[in-house]
Amino acid sequence: MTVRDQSLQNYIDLPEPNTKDPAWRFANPRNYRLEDTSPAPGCPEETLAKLHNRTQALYPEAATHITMAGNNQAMEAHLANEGLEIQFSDTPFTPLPTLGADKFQALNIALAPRTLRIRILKDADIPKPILIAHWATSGNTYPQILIEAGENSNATILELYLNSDDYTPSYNNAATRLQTQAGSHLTRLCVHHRNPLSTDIHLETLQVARDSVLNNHNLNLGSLNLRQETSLTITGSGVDAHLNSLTIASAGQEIDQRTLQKHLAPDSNSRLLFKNALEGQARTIFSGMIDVGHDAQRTDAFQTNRNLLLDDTAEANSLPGLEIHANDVKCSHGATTGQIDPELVYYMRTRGIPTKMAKKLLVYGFFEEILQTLPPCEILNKQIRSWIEKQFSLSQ
Amino acid sequence: MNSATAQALDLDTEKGNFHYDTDYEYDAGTGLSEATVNYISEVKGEAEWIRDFRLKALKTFESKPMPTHWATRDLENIHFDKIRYYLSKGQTPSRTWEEVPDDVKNTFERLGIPEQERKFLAGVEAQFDSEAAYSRMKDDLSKQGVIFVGSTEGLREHPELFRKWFGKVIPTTDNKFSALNSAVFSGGSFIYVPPGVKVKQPLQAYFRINAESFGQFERTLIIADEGAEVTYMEGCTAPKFETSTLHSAVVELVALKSAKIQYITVQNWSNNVFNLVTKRARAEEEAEVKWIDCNIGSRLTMKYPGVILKGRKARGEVLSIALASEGQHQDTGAKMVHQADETTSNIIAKSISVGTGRSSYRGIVHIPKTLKNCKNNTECDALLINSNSRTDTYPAISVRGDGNSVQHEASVSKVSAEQIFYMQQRGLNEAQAMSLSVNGFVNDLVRQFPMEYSVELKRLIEMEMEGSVG
Repeated sequence: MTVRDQSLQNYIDLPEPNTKDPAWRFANPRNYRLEDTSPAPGCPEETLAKLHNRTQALYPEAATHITMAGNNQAMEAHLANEGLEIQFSDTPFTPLPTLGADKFQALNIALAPRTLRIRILKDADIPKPILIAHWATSGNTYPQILIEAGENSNATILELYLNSDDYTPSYNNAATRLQTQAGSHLTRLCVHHRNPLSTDIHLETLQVARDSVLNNHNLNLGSLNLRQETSLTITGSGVDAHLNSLTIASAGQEIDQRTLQKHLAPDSNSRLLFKNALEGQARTIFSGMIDVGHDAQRTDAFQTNRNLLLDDTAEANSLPGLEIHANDVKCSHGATTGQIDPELVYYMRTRGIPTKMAKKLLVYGFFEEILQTLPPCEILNKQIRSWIEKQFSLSQ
Repeated sequence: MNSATAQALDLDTEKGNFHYDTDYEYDAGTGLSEATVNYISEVKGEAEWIRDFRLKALKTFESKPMPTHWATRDLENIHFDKIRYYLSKGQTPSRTWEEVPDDVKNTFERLGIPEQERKFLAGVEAQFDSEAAYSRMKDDLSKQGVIFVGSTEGLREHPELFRKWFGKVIPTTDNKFSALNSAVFSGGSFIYVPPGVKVKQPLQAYFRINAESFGQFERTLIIADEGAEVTYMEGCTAPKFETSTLHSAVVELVALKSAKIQYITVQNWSNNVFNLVTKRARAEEEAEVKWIDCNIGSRLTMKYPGVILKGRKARGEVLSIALASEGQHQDTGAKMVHQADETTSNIIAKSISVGTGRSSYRGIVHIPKTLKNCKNNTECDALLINSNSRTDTYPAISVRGDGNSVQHEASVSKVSAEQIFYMQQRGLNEAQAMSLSVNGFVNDLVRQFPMEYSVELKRLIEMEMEGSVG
């Protein structure tokens, strides 16, 4: 039996997720149930070319533009870049431990037609970002992305998850796997800006080797429902890994984020900062775990979740967790949920700033901590800020 | 840390390792069935409604699965059919110390309830196996209308007071072990404090397990009427036995309008005891409930004291200390369920893991929509002593509504080498320095305990760290 057939069988055999399972606590697994799993048909060449133009328009200066549209049809446009290999591979992913979405991983492996494989070769230094845009057209898509960073390489990856229009529903089950070799320096920015009719599952597996630096950013600015699993494994010493996330949830959205910071080796750091702003019946779930193994002495791991409730209909759920097996560690987590402090608004009003503007400034101040850490791509960052405006009703 | 220190920090498992033979007049045998429940009910001469309540609970217990989808699989090592569910010497609660049988007295002497402390404590009810062997109330308390009796006596003589709340804060169906307790409960305290009465001195009960393979299922219900105040203390030590013993209590607190209840537990079970306890309080308008919980010993403790904040401006607090030694698992935490505006809650949990000990914090903070201006603060700190010690934190926080704010913080650390070095420089040996550090770690919590208990607790922690204190 092939890996794909086996995965399909697993998908059929595995039970539906259940909220009694701590990995699905507070979530609505129903949101991700799929009656007809069949992949959407590939989109026509013409549409693909148009979408590729839109990809390029997002950030013309990128080192490479890769467009994935509908179900994994793809187009690439290289600018001259040594040290970079991009190909579509037919080798499917093998299953890895998930943070609860085993069934959905099986479906992704069974139905992903090809894997986008990006290799950054040893010692390569790619100053401009590599841009990957996944455009959902309609139906079900199963994108797979594999990023391999060679020894002492340096690169920035931008993954954008978008829709070709604002009114076609879509269901997307994506998997990103990232592996670094010793001494690499990698920045990854993943933006979900789907339309409000889309359901998304995204399983991210990040494996970081000795002396590497990883800056991973998630911006969630869309989708009706999003289940995002970010699983970080540190296999060597001297690693510095940052996981940042900004979620803006409104209008009945449910954003369900599960994270794992797994330390297998001593003397590494990981820092997690997940910020959520919620309004309009939206729900967020943050469930994080720091898992420090027996050998991971002198680990310094941190996990922070901050939720800002912008009205009284939003609901923030927080499940920060620690499992520590080594004793010489510095590990902590913090979770806060609250509203805009009326005293701050009052202070600004006494300085002549209208209430609405004052609130907006405070909310942007809350976001800024994350936005400042984004890779310095001016055009894209402007774009992202306009997406935030769009997602966020205070600006209207 | 060298192995000598590790050894020095080991739990002194021999402490409490004594056992007097006792002859039991009533013995329900091993295993659990309707017959067992009927037997217990008959021996106690209970009313029909209590028997029905027990039998219904038994069905619930049998139908509920073990909570192993989130809890440790060690629970599967409890063999319910090998446990004796009821033993009694058939004694009626004694009123004076002289009436207490000598062998029971001996046990208490070894437990070290000092003569002086007895004078301070308003009433002492020590549970020797199932029934209260000693029970006394100071005259002035009875004059104030305070009722402090065993559960059997409470349900028999004051059904008008206790039936209303019995099983209401913790319904039988709450979890498998609350159902078990509801089926076979015996012993425990029932306390009623009338409106406006402030009981100045703490009420105290010592619980002990004293028969091999004998589960102890005490049931406690404390009702503080409007504006009343009461502090209740329970302390536990148990002799060491060969086979595992089950302790599964249910404790319900009801604080009516503006009442204050403080419930203090210092627990030191022997390290083969499964200690699976359900504790919950209901706090009405402006009432205040404070759980102070100290867990030392046992094989597995699962205990999450909770407060349901039912009325406006109610306040709930949990202060907890857990020490998990070699082979032990302290799975403790707190639940704060906010159900009214302007309610506040505070959780401070500290845990220490020694050797292969594992301490876990599990918590729930729930603030639904429609509520305004609720606040919660949670702090969990864990200290790891050895390189194979383990600690986990699993809080769950769910917030909606208007003007609510919640903050949670947890940290894990070890005793810093610099601290130890500094103290060694001043002439302490490594073990002494370690013990001093551990005491310092919990000191700010211990200081919040009432005076009698902070002294006792400090002594208990020192004994746990025995050999390292010099």
